[in-house]
Amino acid sequence: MRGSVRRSWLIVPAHDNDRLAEAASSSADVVVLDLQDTVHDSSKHVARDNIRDAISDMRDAGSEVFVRVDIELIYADLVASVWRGLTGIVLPGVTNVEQVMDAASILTDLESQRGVVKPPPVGDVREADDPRGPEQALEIHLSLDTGRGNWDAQQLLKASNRVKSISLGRADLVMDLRGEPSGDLHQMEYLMQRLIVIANALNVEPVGAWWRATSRGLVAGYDDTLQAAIDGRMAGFRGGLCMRTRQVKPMNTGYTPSADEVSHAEEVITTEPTYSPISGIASDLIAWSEECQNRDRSKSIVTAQRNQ
Amino acid sequence: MPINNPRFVDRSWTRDCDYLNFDLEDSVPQSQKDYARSQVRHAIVQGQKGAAEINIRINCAYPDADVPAAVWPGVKQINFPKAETGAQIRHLDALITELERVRGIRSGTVRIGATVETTLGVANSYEIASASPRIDAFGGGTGYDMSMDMGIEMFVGFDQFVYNRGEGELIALALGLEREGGVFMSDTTGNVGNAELSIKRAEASRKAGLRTGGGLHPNVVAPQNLGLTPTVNEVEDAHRVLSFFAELDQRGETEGDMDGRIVDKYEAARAEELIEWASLCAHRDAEKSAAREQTAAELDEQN
Repeated sequence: MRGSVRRSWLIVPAHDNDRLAEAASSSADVVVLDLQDTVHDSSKHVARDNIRDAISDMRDAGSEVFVRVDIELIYADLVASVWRGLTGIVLPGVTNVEQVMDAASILTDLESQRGVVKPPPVGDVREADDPRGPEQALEIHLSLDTGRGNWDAQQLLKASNRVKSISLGRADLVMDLRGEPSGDLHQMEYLMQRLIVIANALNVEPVGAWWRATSRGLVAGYDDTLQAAIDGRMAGFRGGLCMRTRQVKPMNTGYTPSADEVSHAEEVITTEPTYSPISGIASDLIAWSEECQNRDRSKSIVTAQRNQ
Repeated sequence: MPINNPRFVDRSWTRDCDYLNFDLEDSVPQSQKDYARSQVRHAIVQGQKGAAEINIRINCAYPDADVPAAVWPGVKQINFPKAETGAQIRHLDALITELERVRGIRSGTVRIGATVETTLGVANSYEIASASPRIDAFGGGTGYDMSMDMGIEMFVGFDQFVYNRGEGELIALALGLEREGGVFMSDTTGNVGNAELSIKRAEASRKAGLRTGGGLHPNVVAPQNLGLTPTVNEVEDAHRVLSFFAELDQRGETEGDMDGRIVDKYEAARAEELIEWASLCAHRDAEKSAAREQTAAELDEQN
């Protein structure tokens, strides 16, 4: 799935007002309001109550907004989440096709009841009020965090045309993906490549970064995050998940081609014949770089409007 | 170990192995296969003197000859090398089922260890691993036969089995089986008795969540047992993690910083798993030690 620039996916506990405020000024391409792992059971109701306003706040800050739901509490979580401004949901823990279809069906009902469609790109003034088409359906991002989910990834991706992106999640994968003496996480390379191949084959966006054993992934520091994003981009991702606002900048930077890369690509397309794959790769890089710049510009416009 | 070699078999109980894999396959020449089959019951007795779990590796080419020789009371697992199809495993399951009935072994006692060692086996891994409920552990194809089938060198400085290992472990996870395999460590010598490498590999495997390892030389038994057992410090640390997480949970929080590291429900579950594993290892060591002492005492008495 190409078209959206989603370099940084910042997960924020939806019950925590301080973290929500930080997220609103983080410059994340995507803010994922969390109702799952980072929210204690005793705070779930507070988190659900916060979602509607938080969607609006994050949207005003120039971020696309997803909500990560708890698959065991999916109905209540979706009822709390499907409001104007929401782009999609992150669905973790999926192990069978029925779960994806169930989520899609609840989304369809709530979209219809509440008149909600997927919003246009950030900074775009148009609202999609025309008859609802598949492109306006709220998206599903599958967080494949179990062995079964990863093994059956193809079937799960085909279960609904709402599924537009996937990532490797935590759960039993993190239980088993542990550091090796090489500095890599156990089986990370295999699982990452498998995810990227399947995602591209089925035209959905693979999301992730090449985390190393020492970096503690989603809460890593600046340098580790930057390296994970750069390596992730080289491996085939175009954006990754993170859990700290300090990681947003290195994510955005790492997933944006550097000036040197762009200038090298420009040189390549002037010297290589247009039919050459090398030229094609260079053209893609330049196009991606322009899309990233446009995304940054639209975020600046939206936040400037908000501050006026 | 080759079951046709009495010197190895008769001393097998002294080795402190958690399990012994008595071999009817590669380490036994064709001319000795019949003799090897006749030695299974003796080997079971010898191995059990040290409380080792008894596995018998049969030949993939003639299960109908090997399985009746291998399935006896005391045998925990039939290892099936060069597994390539689900049909082979289903056939093996049927043979074992019948022998359990005839020989008075409780149904389902004998497990199947399906070893993938060919490219066809890798391609059919899911079918193989899900072919019988007797399979409770699975891993990807590596090793000598795999190298030969892939036409590559075995002892090189990089992991030539990335795909096989990944595929095997993911299938095990998907099917809820124990993951088997190992962490790649560079080894260009091919020395099967390298204790130093063995302990490093075992430690790395344990940290990757793996719990078993095999070997071809007695030198690697102690290093493997040591490397696959959590250390005292690790167990203490795991208890601290659990206490810290319990406090977090009581405060209605989901994560916190413990001495510069993030603790959340995943770290807590990992700690719990480590403590449980350490306890299982201690229990196993005690079991083996008691059996060896008893055997030694009986031998003293006889002498």
